[in-house]
Amino acid sequence: MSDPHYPSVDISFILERAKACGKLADDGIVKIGATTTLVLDGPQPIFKRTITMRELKKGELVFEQATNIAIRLNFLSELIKWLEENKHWKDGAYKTA
Amino acid sequence: MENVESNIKIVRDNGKVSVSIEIPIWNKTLKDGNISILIPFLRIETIAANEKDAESAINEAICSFCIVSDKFGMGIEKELQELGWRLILNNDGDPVWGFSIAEPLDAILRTGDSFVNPHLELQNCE
Repeated sequence: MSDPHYPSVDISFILERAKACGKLADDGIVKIGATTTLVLDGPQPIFKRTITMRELKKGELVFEQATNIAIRLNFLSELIKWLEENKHWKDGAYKTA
Repeated sequence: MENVESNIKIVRDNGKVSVSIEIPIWNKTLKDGNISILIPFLRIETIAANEKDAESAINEAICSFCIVSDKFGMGIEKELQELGWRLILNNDGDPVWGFSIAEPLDAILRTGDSFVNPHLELQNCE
């Protein structure tokens, strides 16, 4: 969420996974200011195949944006793994011993 | 409550594209102070760090929409049509794109804040 308890995600990881999913149009990553737009390949109107994200801190996306993109492009499990390895964050409730 | 206008004028001149836009937007302040921004008539959602950043966020989002429509879509005009915009004549008799949907929905959607940028030059966006 856009919530201090959730970690931010490196945009570089998101873009790397987006490129790897094979659904982007050629050169389908457009950066304007702090906004990056992914364009998916396909015949549908543009509004149905664009994903917008914005870096509030350079290089970082808020958790909610990152997870929405990961769900839409089908790499949620990779994102969860990345969060565990890079942010020491695990989904679910915490229990202190 | 004043109704917010929605109109878009696109000027193409020798490969240069400039856009004049007036459109309703909705801002929602999130738990950590960030602002979630919705531009329903373009089906765009973005995020900003504060009020001032919100203006940049909206400009970037609209610029992105226009550039992406021209480069990867059927052009801004056609993509606006797909979203429900129609070419109409404004008070000065100039053709502009206006948004038109069913009455009750229209009334609800026009209650947002107004975002106006009379001169968005796409070339200068990047």
